[in-house]
Amino acid sequence: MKLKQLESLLGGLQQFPNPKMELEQYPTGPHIASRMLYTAENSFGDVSGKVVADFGCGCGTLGLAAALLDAEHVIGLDIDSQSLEIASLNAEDLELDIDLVQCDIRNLGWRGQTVNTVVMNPPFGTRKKGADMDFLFVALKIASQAVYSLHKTTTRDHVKRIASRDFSASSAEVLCELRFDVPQLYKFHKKREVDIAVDLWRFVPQRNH
Amino acid sequence: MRLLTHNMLSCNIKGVTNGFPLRIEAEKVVEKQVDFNADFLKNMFPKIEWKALVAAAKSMGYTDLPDQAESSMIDSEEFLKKFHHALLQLHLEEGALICPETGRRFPVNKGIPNMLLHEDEV
Repeated sequence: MKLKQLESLLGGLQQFPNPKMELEQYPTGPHIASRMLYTAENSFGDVSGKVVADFGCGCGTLGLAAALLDAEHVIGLDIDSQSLEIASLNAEDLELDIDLVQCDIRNLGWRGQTVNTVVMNPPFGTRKKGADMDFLFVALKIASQAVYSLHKTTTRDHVKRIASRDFSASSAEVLCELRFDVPQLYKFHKKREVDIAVDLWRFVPQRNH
Repeated sequence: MRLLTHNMLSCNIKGVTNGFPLRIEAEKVVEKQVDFNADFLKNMFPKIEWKALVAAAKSMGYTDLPDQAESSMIDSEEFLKKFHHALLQLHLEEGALICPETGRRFPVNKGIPNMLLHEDEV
C-alpha cells in the first residue's frame, strides 16, 4: 500500500466526539500515523506478518494502520470504553479485524514478550505526571522486537536516559521530529491550534529469553 | 477476541501469584475466516502456552487440538490448520474471563474484555 493511500484511509476514521481531558485524549492525525507505521514497516520490517499492540489506542488509528500494512494480529488497548467502541466501528468500516482490550496499562497482566511490536502515541504526562514513561515501561516489557512511540521533543534527553538506563532498552533512537497539531479541543485551550514538536522514537527492548 | 490474545492476558490483581491462564466462560462464540499463514504460525508456535490454548479452545467448543504438541508437529499442514483455526479464527464475543486464583470475573462484551481492576485490587 502506498503512503498516500494509507494516509487517506486513516483520514476517514471517526475520532473522539467528546475527548476526555484527564486522559489526554487527542487524535493521532493521519499524517503522523501513516508515516509512523510506514517507516516501521519499510525501514525496519516491524509490522507485516507480526503481532502488533497499540497502547492507548483511543479510536484505533495506529492499530488500524498496522492492520492496513498487513500486521498478522493487532491488539488495541485503552482504558476508555467509549473510545474502544469507536475503534470497533472504525475497524468495521475498514473491514479489518483487530482485538481490543479495555485495561489500565499500568496494571496490565501480560505473559512476557509475546508481541513483536508496540506502537503508541501515549499521554504526554501533562495531566498524570509520568504517564508517558509508564506506557514506555510496559511497552518494553511486552515487545520482543521494537517499540515506536511519540514524546515531546523537550523531553528528549530525559526519555533517552530513562529508556536506556532504567528500562534497559538496548537501543533508543529518535527517527525524526514531527509537528503534532493539537486542535482547540478543551475549554482551557486559548489558541485555535497549537503545534507541539514531538520526536518519533524507536526503542529496541532488552531480550529476556 | 481471538485466542491468540487470550494466550497473552493474565490477571494482575494484587497478591495473585499466577493469574495465567484465565478460564473462559463462553456465551457467544463467532468464527471468522482468516487467511492461512504457515510462516506466522511456525514463528508463533514456540511463544504459545499450549495447554492454555487447548483448554481455551475446548471452552469455545473446539476440541480438535492435540492435548500436547512439540515443535516437530509444525511440519504437518494438518496440525497447522487446526492451530490456525484455534488461534485466529475463533472469537469470544460474549462471556467472561475468570482469574484462576481469585475467581474474579472479567466480562467480555462485543468481543472486548474489560480488564480494569477495582481500587482495592491494585
